[in-house]
Amino acid sequence: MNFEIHHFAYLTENIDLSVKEMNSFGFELEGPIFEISAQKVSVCFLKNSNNIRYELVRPFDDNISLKRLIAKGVTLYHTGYSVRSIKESANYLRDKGFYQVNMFTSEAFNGNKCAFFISSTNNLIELIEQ
Amino acid sequence: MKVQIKEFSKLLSEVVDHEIINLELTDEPKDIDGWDSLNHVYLIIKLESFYKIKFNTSRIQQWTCVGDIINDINKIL
Repeated sequence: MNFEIHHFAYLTENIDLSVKEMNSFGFELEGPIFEISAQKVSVCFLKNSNNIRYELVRPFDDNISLKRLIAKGVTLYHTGYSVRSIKESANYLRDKGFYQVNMFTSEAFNGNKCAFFISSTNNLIELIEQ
Repeated sequence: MKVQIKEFSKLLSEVVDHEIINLELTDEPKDIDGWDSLNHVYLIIKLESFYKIKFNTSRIQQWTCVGDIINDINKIL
């Protein structure tokens, strides 16, 4: 099973400010800011010359889980992986003891399927079907 | 051991990060502030760890309310 790292996700209350901060150490905005209604977040992606990609995630006001994470000081909170098949990868992860949080289509990935999984040690990952 | 709603309420309160007053067996996630899909999984992990049990995935998908979860725990214990 091939899990290719796509991004590391950072929570922020202010995407514009976070973009400026990341510009200062070599990360450039890759595209527009997307509103992902299913997840109640706005997101954008930034990449540097080493092809490391970050996703900045701003929760909507009614996204209580993510707002609470920010309030607790948590910022870096999930890793995104590109996979060929969500279904096959999901079965693999469940066999490894991961719990599926949800499944949705994302405006940030041309409507492709995505899913979040979490392990009992709080390792939160997002799968993005290519 | 029979799980009581009071004990379940305390565990759920820890997950959603606020005290839940008067939790009912018929309450559903939509009735509780902060009980979203991510916290639902945190709750499952917490319950499995606290009661030292393992839920059946297909049973989890059939839960609709607090009573369903407590019934499942009591069946496993």
